[in-house]
Amino acid sequence: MKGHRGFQMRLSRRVGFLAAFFNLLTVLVSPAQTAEGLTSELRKFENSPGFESDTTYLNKANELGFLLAESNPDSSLVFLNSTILLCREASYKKGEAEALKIYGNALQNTGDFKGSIEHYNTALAIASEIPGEKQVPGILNNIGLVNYYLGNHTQALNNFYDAIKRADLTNNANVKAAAINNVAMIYFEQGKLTEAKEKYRETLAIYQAINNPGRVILAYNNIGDVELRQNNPLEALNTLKIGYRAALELKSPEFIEMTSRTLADIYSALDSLDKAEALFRESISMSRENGYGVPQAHSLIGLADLYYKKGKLAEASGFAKEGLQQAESMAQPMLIRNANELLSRIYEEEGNFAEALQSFKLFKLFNDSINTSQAQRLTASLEAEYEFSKRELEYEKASLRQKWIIFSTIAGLIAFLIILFVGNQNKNRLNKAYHALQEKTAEIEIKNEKLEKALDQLKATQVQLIHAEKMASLGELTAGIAHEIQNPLNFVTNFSELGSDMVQELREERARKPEEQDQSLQDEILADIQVNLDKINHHGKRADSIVKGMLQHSRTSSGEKLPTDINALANEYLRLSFHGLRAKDKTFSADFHTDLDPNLPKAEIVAQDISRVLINLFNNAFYACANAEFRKENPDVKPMVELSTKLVGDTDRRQIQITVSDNGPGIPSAIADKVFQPFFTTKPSGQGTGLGLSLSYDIVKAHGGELKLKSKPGELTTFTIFLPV
Amino acid sequence: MKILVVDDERDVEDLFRQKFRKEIRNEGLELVFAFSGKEALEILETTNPPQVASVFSDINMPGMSGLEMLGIIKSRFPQLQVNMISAYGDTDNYTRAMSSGAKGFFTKPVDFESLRREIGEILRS
Ligand SMILES: [Mg+2]
Repeated sequence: MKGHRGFQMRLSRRVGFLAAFFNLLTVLVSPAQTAEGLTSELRKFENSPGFESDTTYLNKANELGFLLAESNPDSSLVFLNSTILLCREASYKKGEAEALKIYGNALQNTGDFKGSIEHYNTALAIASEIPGEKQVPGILNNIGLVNYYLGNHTQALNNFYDAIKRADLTNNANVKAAAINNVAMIYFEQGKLTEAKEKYRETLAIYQAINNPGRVILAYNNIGDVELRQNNPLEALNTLKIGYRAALELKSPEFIEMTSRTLADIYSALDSLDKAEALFRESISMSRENGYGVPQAHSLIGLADLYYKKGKLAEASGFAKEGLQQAESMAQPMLIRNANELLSRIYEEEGNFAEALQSFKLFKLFNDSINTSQAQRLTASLEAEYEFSKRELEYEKASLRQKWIIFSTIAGLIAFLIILFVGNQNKNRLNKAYHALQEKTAEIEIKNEKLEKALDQLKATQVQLIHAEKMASLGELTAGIAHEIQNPLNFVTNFSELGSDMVQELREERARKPEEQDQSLQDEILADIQVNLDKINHHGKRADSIVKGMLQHSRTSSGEKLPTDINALANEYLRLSFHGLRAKDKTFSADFHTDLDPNLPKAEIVAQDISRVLINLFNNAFYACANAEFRKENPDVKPMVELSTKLVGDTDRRQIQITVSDNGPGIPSAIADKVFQPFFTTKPSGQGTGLGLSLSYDIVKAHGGELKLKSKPGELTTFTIFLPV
Repeated sequence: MKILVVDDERDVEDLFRQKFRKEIRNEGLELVFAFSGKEALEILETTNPPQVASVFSDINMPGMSGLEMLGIIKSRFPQLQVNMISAYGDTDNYTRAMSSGAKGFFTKPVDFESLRREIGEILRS
């Protein structure tokens, strides 16, 4: 529980980073200023004529707009709209694109994601027209973030990818790093920690290269966070120490708070409770001073957890409640969830069970909704990943090719001058690059082949499984078939022996003198012989139909529907199933009962297919009520399987209803909808393919019918087949 | 002399009546038939001790199996002789039947000559 909780906490903070990151990005473009300062600067401009078309004025307006979009997004819209119009009137494209982007940002902050994307797209269209396209990568990155929030991971990853590519082309290292960071974030959420760490390291390298100390700290913080989640707290500690020291040097409250909070998490994981406490307290006081709402909630809950670990329940309770209140005011579901979980444990230990239950209920509520949305996001992002990695490889290929061209050109130009000195050096490098490219391509091809192979194997396995299921049900039948054929054969043997005895008797009688002959005895013997011949005929036919049925069952379905007597078919397979189980297991004991509608019309069915459905239902029913475990636990229940047939429905849509019931344990409603899914089985592994009911369902559907399940746990289970007449 | 035959196959009645026609006609053999273990126990319980001298029972029957019935008969009427008849001549069924107190064990298809000898002994006793 602890580990999971920790993971959620970190995940929630990650979203916190992301927001900070996103905002910083634009702030860094222009020197940070206060809204008041900018407003008064704008006032000064407004005194001179023609200020509306002065680009310096419009740039300042955008800077103010950005600050307002962050601090007060709702009321910033009017101002932002006027800036857009002014830029448009002045035909100042760059300003207009910037203003539209900020408008999109403000809408994003208000939660209007759809409007936000619309504005970003308009900004993108304008920015693409401007030579150099310098604003394009940043806008693409913003669009990617909105898509990420919306759960459209495919789209988001594509946007980030485009942003990275465009940033590369325009040498915009900041945006490139931001987009890579966002890709890392998605890896993190998918639990691909190695990949996430690798991407964060890339961002670290970029920020170190462009000498952006704040972002370097952020990168260290992110890397340490991944390491902590990789269960590597010592490594994380080393990483964070670098980040924390750098933050102190930079004297930036935002980064000091962030790194001390992560450090506190690490020390908490290492059980260095005193160090963790000091750092959490530092984070809390800095957050309070600077109004960092989400970090404050996080650290309050972390501190409460520390006190809980120390057994100081009163303090733990106080901090947890404060943290919960803060989390609620910041609308942070994960933090709310974590606080409630902790509170329920605290209350429980205090003996306050009513409150503990209340908190636990809230914990469950938030936990469920978080898990649901996380699962949905995860599925979406997994789908996206394939698409993304394909594009990433394409890009690598393309850039290698490009390098190759550049290298070739340079090599061609200077080859004559330096060929003697340099020799084959360049060529070797090119060869290396080229070989690397080839290897990558081969790798992709191998991966593709593997995937295709896996798919083929999967298809083959499916066919095999269906066949295995058929054979398994036939195997279960064999013993029943043997018994069912043995009985009629015995009668054939016995009655034919009797017949020849009687013929002998009749001969003896007729060998007497005519006056001693008993005419009525002769008549009686003849009548008996006739009866016996009829019996022989009857049992011969009985064996014949069983053999035919068996052959039909094992043969591949011709798919031809023929009029079939459902009563006879069902009855036959009920007996086969019963005797099969009895023959296999000497201790097996169950009873069956039939209630067959004598006026049932024949049904047009593929008898072989429907017989598979029936054998499945009977075998399941007998297994349910007569398996050893159930009988041991319910010695008073007499295992009973009932088969009934009935004609139902209106005259224009008559249906044959076949029900198979057993008085076994019943099927809990929780798994009732799963029983028709392929590979679902409750039998011990190796005892069922889990395909029986799923195939049965498909067969009945293919007949235009329905297969339904009704169960009262502890009483009975009824499967009903409806077949059209 | 009453003998109870238990089998879920109804044609067993015709078969036995014809096979033992002479014994029925001339030697006072009376055959009673039951088509399940439950029915057999009901017949046996109408009087105590039962009017039946011996039981011949199939093993493989729906509901109560012949072996289950054997156990019940032996606990209620220890003196009553019970013979088992099974399509499965395997040692498992045989040992289970004999250890539960069966007098004899016949396999299907029944060898009526040995069955006649057995019934002859009962009639003479
Ligand atoms: Mg039988």
